[in-house]
Formats: sequence, structure tokens, C-alpha cells
Amino acid sequence: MKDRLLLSVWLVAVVGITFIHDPLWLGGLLTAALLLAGRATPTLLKRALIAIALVNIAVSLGFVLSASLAGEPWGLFVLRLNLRVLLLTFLTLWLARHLDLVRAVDFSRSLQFVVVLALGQIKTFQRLLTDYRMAFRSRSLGRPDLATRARSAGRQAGALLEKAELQATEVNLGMRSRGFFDDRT
Amino acid sequence: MHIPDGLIAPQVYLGAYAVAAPAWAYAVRKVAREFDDALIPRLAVLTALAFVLTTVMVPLPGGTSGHLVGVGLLALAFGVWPAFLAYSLVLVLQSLLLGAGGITVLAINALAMGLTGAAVTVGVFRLLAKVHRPAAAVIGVWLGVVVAATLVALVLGIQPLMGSDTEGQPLFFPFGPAVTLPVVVGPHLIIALGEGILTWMVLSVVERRRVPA
Amino acid sequence: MIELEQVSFRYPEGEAILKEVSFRLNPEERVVLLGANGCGKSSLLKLIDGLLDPTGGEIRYQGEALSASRLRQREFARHFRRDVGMVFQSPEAMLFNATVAEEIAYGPERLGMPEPTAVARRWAERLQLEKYLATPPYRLSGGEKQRLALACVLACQPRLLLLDEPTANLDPRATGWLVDFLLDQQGLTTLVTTQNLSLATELGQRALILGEDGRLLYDGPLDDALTDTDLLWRANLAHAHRHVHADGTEHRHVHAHGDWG
Repeated sequence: MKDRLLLSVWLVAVVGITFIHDPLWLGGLLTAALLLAGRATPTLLKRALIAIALVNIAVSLGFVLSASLAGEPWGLFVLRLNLRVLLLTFLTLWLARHLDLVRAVDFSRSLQFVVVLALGQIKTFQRLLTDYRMAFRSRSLGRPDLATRARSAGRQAGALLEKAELQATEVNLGMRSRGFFDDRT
Repeated sequence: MHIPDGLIAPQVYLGAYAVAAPAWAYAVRKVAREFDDALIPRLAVLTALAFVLTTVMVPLPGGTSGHLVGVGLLALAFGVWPAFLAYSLVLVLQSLLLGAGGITVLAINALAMGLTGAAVTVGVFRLLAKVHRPAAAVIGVWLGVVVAATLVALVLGIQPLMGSDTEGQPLFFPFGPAVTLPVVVGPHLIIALGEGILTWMVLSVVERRRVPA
Repeated sequence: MIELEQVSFRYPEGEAILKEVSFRLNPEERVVLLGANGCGKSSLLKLIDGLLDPTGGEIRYQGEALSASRLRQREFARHFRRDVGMVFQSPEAMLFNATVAEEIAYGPERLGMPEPTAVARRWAERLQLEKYLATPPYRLSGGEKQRLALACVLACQPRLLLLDEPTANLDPRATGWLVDFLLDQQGLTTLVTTQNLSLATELGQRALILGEDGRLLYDGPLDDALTDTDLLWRANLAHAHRHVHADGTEHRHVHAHGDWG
């Protein structure tokens, strides 16, 4: 219940913020969010800044340049864009840190099953991928060339694909064995 | 290529959700029929696969690398609709689990790459597969990614039309298609080639092993 | 209880995995299924659990033929799934609920057993999982997942228990617990696959040995099988190696190790 509420509030907030264009308001909300996040603020802020740096700097510089050349003002836009994107990214990172996704989707049993199973399978696949990478590194001398790296990437993806087919069958049988499909029409 | 939150006007991204909603509903029905009662396990495994595939690095010349998108691979191996659903769920997971990627723009990203890109890839592949399978896969994936990037560029490019303040400064993404098309699509002409070649490498290995022992 | 008659199985477009396997499991019997890697032990358990359909022969449960179409009939399916429980070799394949508590309660709840939550708590305690009741199953370690899968199946009080390499991820303490638990159960029929011959002697008196060609090599007392090195060698359950003695002489002999696998 708590997580579902959290998810809903965040969704409303995120959509609402895209309707706000006044940098003063956006700045105020960002300040409030930074204060409310408490001790997590520095970490989250750093991660948010890194996440948005590339796109925001490029768009801001591009706009400043083109507006200056045309002799038009640019300050409001640059503030608006950066404050809004930073605020939204910060809120999303904050949510991801606090939300229990499995509980948040308990409004749909089926969706919850999909999420739980997917999270479990992600771990299985990640373990497989880590093993592959380590094996690759332990067997290569120096920095491998492009073709070798491409072959390795191809093999990683191929192994994932094959594992996925096996896992899909196995999970299907595992659920069937526990009678999962007997109660459904 | 993913658009972050905050650059796109509400009327555009909400419109994208309105388009995506029936597409998702149709995909669920379609995939449920195809997978029989195994919808939940298969969709879950496919989503996990799509999630982890995006962490495979595509090596690029010059010692750099990018991440695999993987939608083309998923679509060629499992079909357009399963790929679309799995990719959409991956976007949800990335946003809610990792805080990466936008939620408001999720429908745009899902429609561009997960549906349009996947459909173009599979369509082109089917058309050309009889002539030359490897080339069909590479060209299919390449075109799928390029079309998706073009869609994203166009969505960004129409943002200046979505309003400006009293001073005439834009409310959302500020550049028109004359800027976004070359800037967004240009690099993808090359990235998509890497993705296409890698996709074929993976598919050929999997196809070879599928031949009965 | 379960009867297999000339059961063969192959995956579509694959090589034959099981060839004309026949045996029956009697109520309250403790049977171990031995065989080398990849000889079809897991497939055989899945066939008995009605998850795979034999490509030849017939499997009967309490005299009634088991088939995909029979299992699509809800009443029969519910009755069969209640009576027969299987723990997979990779337990994560059968874990899909949001928390450990919900995972264990899932079966009892579905079967309409009274107080599924209390049942879940009790089984979690028995398998030392009580501190994880609110944890999602995918966060558990391999051994914990194995114990959880066991708890899920045991909580349904099955009459026939199929365990596929149940101790592969278990530490010695949990293994000991499982052996004791299985010995304590009255009225339970068990079929356990393993490659671990010393564990086998604790899990049953009767052995079924599958050869690498997918045929049943042996069905009889486990003790007799364990002294038949020729049989174990043929089933690839024993290895041969060379001994060099201090005086320079050497000889080959066949070894059946208890603690490998």
C-alpha cells in the first residue's frame, strides 16, 4: 500500500512538473526536494548531475550560441530546462532508491508475477554474463582487438539467448508443477 | 537515443501514451495467445533477457564501445509483439529500479524502438532473407535502429512548436528538425551498423545450434 | 502408486533421452534414482510429475493413465498436483511469489488448506527461513532457495515427493535435516535423484539406475547395486584410476566415491 501510494504520488508529481515553466517555481521545488531527501541528497544529486550532464550541456550551449547569434535572450530557457530536467531526474532516482517495485505493482497479481520472475531471472543472466566476461579476461593476453571483442560480445549475447530459452521452459514447468495454471481458465 | 524527462511537452508524451495503450493491450492479447498459458513465465524471462542484453557492450572502432539495444535481436528471435512488450517492461524496470530513463517519455521510447524499430527490422528481414540471410539481418537491424532514431529526432524536433513564454523563449526542447535530424540520426547510422553485425553474429550461432543434433 | 510401462521420451527433433523404461513405485517406498550427468534423470521426474508427455509407453497414476489431456481436466489436475510434489534441480524455476511467506503459503492457499499463513510460518521455521519471511525469494542464496522450494512443496503435504538432486546446494546441516525429515515421514513415497552414492544409502533401500543410453540398467536393492562395481562402472557412477605403489608396481581399479557430485 505504501509503495503503491509512493508510486502514484511520484507519477502525479512528475507529470505536474512538466506543466510548470517558471524557473522560480522549478527552483523552489528543486530546493524543497533536495532538503526533503535528507542525507541521501549528496549521493542522489551527484548521480542526477552525471546522468543529465551530456544532454543538458549540449542543449544549453547550443541554445545559448544560436540565441546570441540571433541577438535573442536565452537566460530563462537555460534555467527552465536545467532546473526541470534536474528536478525530474532527482525525483526518479529518489523514488528508485525507496520504492519496493514488487509491492508497488500488487494491484495486478499477474504483473507482480512477471516482475518477481523477471527480477529473479535478471540475477541468473547477470551471473552468466559476469562468468563469461571473467572467463574472457582470464583467457586473453593484453587488450584484445576489435574482432575478438566483437566475437566475445556476440558469444555473450548468444549465451544469454540460449539460456533464456531454457529458463523459459524450466520456469513454465516449475510453475505448472505447483499448479499455477490449474486455477486459470 | 533515449529521450530523458523534461524535454518533451505533456501534450506530446501524453498523446504517445494514448497511442501506446491500445498497442500494449493488443500485444498482451496477441502474445498470450501465442504463448498459450505460458505468458507470464515467458514474458518474464524475455524481459529479463532484454534487460541484461542492454548491458552487453558493442565494441566500436577506436577502442570505445556502446551498449547493445537488443530489440532487433529480440524481435528476430521471438517476434515483434513479444519484443515490444519485453522492451516496454525493460524501460519500466530501468526507470523504477535504477532511476535511469524517463517515465513521461517511456511511451515514446517504447513506440519508437520497441514497436516501430522492431517491426521495420522484422519486415526488412523477411523481405530480404530469401536473397541473403546475413545481409537481411544486418540491413534489417540497421534500418530499424535508424528509423527509430529518426522518429525520436522528429518528436524532439516538433517541441519548439509546443509553446514559448512571453519573451519568446521555448518551454521545451528548443531545436527544430533541421538540427535534431542530423544530430540524432547521424551517429546512429554507424552505431546501428555495429548493432546489426552483432545481431547477426548472435543469431547465426543460435540458429546453427538449433539444428537437430 | 505410479507405474511406468515402456516409457520412452525424446525432445522434439532431439535424440532419444529415455528408452522403454518400466518400473512401479509402491506406496511409502523410498527409492533413489541414480545415473550419470545427462542420462535423463530430470526428464524422468518431469514425466512422472506430468510436466512432459512420454513419446512412447504409458505412465499410470493410481491406475489411471497420465496424459496432457487428462491433466487439462481441472479436477484431476488439482488432485494430482496436490498428491505429487516436485522440487526442481534449479529451485528458482519454481519461485514466483513476492515474499518467502507468500511463496510457501501459495500451495496451501490454492488447495484450500486451513490457515495458509500459519502453515507457511511453520515450514519457514522448520527450514530455518523464518528471518526471510518478508524477503523476495530471488534475494536468497542458492541453498536458501533450495530449502524454500522444499518448504513450498512439503507444505502441501504431498503423498509422492520427487526430488531432483535435492542436496546439490545444501550445506551438511541442511542435508542432514532433509535426510532425517524424509525418514520421519509416514505415508510418504519418495523418489530422489542423486549422483552421491553415500547419500543414496540414507535416502532409500531401492535403487533405479539409468544408463547413459537412457535405458533402465537396474531396479533392485540399493545395497546390492553398490557392491556391483561392474554395474556402477557401466552406469558411469564409478571411476577407474591407476594406483602406483611404493614398490613401483601399479594396478587399475574401480572406485565408487560417496561424496562427489
